[in-house]
Formats: sequence, structure tokens, C-alpha cells
Amino acid sequence: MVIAGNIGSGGSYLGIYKKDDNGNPVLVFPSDEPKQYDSASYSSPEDMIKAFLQDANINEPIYAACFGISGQPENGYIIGLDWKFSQDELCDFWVEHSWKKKIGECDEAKIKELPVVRLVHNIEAIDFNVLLESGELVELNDEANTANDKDKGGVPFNCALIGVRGGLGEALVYWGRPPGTFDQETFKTSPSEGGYANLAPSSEEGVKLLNYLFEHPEYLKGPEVVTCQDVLSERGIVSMYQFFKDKQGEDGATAPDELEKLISDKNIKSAAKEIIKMALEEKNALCEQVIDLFFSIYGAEAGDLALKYYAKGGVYFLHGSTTPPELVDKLIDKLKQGSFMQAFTRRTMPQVVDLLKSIPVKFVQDANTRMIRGAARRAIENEPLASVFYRECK
Amino acid sequence: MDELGLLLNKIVEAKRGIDAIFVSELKKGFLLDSSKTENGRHPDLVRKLGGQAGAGGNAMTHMSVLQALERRISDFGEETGLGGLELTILQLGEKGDIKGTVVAYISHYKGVPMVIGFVNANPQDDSLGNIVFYCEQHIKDVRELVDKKYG
Repeated sequence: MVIAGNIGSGGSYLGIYKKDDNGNPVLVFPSDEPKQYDSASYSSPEDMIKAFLQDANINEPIYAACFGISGQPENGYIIGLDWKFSQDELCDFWVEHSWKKKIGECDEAKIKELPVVRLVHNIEAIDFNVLLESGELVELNDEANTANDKDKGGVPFNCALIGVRGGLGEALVYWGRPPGTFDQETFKTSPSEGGYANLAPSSEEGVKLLNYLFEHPEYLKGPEVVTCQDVLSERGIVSMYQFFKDKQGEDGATAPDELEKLISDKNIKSAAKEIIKMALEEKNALCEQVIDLFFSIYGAEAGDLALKYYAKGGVYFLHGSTTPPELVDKLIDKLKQGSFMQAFTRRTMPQVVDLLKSIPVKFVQDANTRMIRGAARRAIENEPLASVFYRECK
Repeated sequence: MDELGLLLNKIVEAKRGIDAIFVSELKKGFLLDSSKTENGRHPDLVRKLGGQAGAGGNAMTHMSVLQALERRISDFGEETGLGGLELTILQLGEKGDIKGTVVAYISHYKGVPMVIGFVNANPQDDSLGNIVFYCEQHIKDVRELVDKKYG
């Protein structure tokens, strides 16, 4: 058995998995879906994992773990949390708390080299090879050329992943093997910190928003720079709502009370959800304006990503949990017909427009589940060797 | 020392064609087991296999190329109906008075690709045919204990 998790400042999901006969992860605890924890109420990942191990109350060693995090695994940093940690420290912790052994009595070098606890970017945790075989992908680009997904040498084209939650996640997907290994060639994911790139709007409304944000640094993470994820994030949706509300003044569309309360309570995640819900249900003109601009900037960024990565294999739109399940079909229609796809292909050069029109844009239904299952798959890969190292401990 | 370690030492101490034996996983190049006896013909060879920390040095990392070889040759065997790869004989060039031969048997234990390698460093005393014969004599017993430990 292994533990897998998807850890972020807005909430973390942890689950215990085992391998089925086909090598796929199966959730063992909890039995229905991974357990959610309020990350901010713990002082460290170790404390949160301890609480989970206590809740699970499993009396056998869990050999390996993998956690996808919204931050930088190599620097032990999660966006929006004060935690400071490292993969090596988590390995020590694991040996003590899950294996119930002392690190000094085990082969520490092998445990950390494997490693028994692995940290990856959460977007990197998604197993793209498994995702490709999934039947749940929805094509957003009606003009996409799906007949040809490889170059003349038979090498599959690059792809790109993009998704908005607490921040903006972007990754390159390429065909190959990790340097220095002899693994079989498959799709590999290379994460990025593209969310921190400077925002460069290409529409008049987008420029107005940029200026508004400079005038209202309270909506920014830092006062001097507007990053992509200052806009393409849950808090970005709320900032855009304030932008349109301020712009329209008192004569504009009515601001719904329940939404205003969520914003004044600083419940940003729920406020963003509410804005999307009201817009998709066409219940509030202000929210509809927000969503149109949001998807316009989102679509432009997705197109930019396709151009930068030369992602002729496709751009994969990772849908999180911001849209209620009953409105997902409406969201897909909105993405296909609305500002997202228009902005995706809106470029100056006709050749570039044609290139972008030919690129598949796929909607990935439940990215959060894929992140944690992908993490579980990575932990399962390390489980047999981790169990050997466990048995070798004195 | 466990029974696998004892067996590996015993084979090397017999001083008949086999100077070191290692069991290594091929994904990361971890040396999992090896002969450790000082009573063979080349005790220095055993130390080199383990690297400084004894967990497998660079030498073992390079062995992970066998994983790709096994995959490709097994594909070849599958397509031609000749069967999967059983063993690989690597004959190395001369360095000083040593000319190495490694006979590598590749297996999967719980999905982890592993190699059992028999190393000979005395070609002047042992013909290639004899080296393979000695390995074939011992591989069944070694595999049995590797399977018991890791399978």
C-alpha cells in the first residue's frame, strides 16, 4: 500500500492506494474518495500526514508515498502556505512514522535516492499516457486536425497542459525518456512556473484590467508586477469581478448579496465558484462579463502556450472543481463557442492562425482526481523497492 | 548475513571461474546484494561493485542499460518466436592483467527489473565456455533465493 496526495493551500486530498491486477491504483482509504484536509490549519505537511495516518489507523507499514504539490518540490514550498519542508526530511519522517523504524538503522542513501516519499508538481503528477487513453476528453476545437499527431520521424508532437485553481499551472508534455535513463520512451511532463510570467493582455478590455490592477495592488501578490496568475486564478476571477463592478459604478448590474458576502468574508474559492455558477446559469450580467474576460485571457494564454511549446499534439484544459458538475456541459459549450477559443486563435499572422486552428484543445473533466491517481501510480512504482529497503532496516 | 549473501560468498570462494556476483535493480542501479568475501581471487572487484557507500557505485548505474537491451531483445524474440532474453555475456577489453567477463541474467521481481551478474576477471585461467558453464551451474540456486527475498 502507498499514500498519494494532492497538496495545496486551498485544501489537500490524501488517500491510501493499492495496486490492482493491472497495476492501476485502487483507493483503499477512504473507500469513496480521497480525504480532504484544510492545509492551512496544520503547521507542516508532516503534521497533516500524521493526522491522516491516525484517521486511517492502518496497522501495517505503508512503504511509499508521492505528493503532488501546488508549489516548488525542490524548494519545499507551497504557494500560500508558510510550510518549509524537503523531500529528504519527509523520507526521514516516513521511516519513523509509517515504517516505525529509525533512519539510522536503515540504508538512508537508498531510501532518499529512490525516494520512498516523492514530491512532484501537482500538474506533473498527472499521468499523461493514461489520460490519452481516457474516453472522457472533450474536443473544444472543432477545426482541429486530429489525423496527424506525429512528425515525419514518427515522434509524437509536444502537448501542453494548462489549468487554473488557486494559481495557474502550465506544463510541457514531450515524447522521450528522462536523461540518463534507459526507460521506455513515453510522454513525459515538464512542469513550469509559467503562472508567474508577466501578464501581457492583447485586448482593450484586458489592458484596462491591467491598469486597474496596477491602481489596486491589494489584488496582487506583489505591487509592481501583474502576473498571469494574478488574473488566471480563483482570486483573479474575484479581482475581475471588482474591476467590472467599479467600472460600472452604481448604475451597473446588481451585485448579488450572497456573492458580496463571500467576498467580504475573503472566501475567495467559494466566491470564484459562485461567479462562474451565476455566469453559466446566466443569472447575473456582471458575472457573465467577468467570465467572458476571464476566458478571453485564459484562451489567449492557452494559445501562447501552444506556440511557445510548439504543442501541435494538443493543449489540454485541466478542469478543476470550480464548476458545479451539473454545469460542466454549459462550461464546455461556453469554451467552444465563446471568448476562450476565439482568443486561442486570435493572432496577427494568418499562418499562425491556421497553425492554432489545427491544434486540438481537449477538455479534461476531473483534473484533481487525475493528479492524485497519478501520484498514487508513481508511489506504486516505488513500492516494491521501498519494501525491500524496509526489510533491510535493522 | 542472509542465506543469499552466504550463497554468493560460497560460490566466489570456490575460486572456479566466478570472482564476484551482484544482484542489482536496473531502474536506478541500486546494488541490492553482492558477494562480500575477501577469500575469492579478486577481493578488490567486490569492493568496486559496491562503490564507496556499498549501495552500488557508478558501475552499477551503467548496468541499467541492460534494461533497454532486455526489452528490445525480448521484443525481437517475441516477433521471431525465439523467446525472451535469458542471459547476456559481456566480454570486456583487457586492462592491466585483467580482462573482464560479465554473465548477466535479467529477471523481474514484483515488476522490478533486476540483474544477477557473475563476473570473471581471470580469462587466462578460464575459457568463456567454462565461465558460462559455472554460471549455469549456480544460477538456479541463486535465482531461487533472489525470488525468495524479492519476489
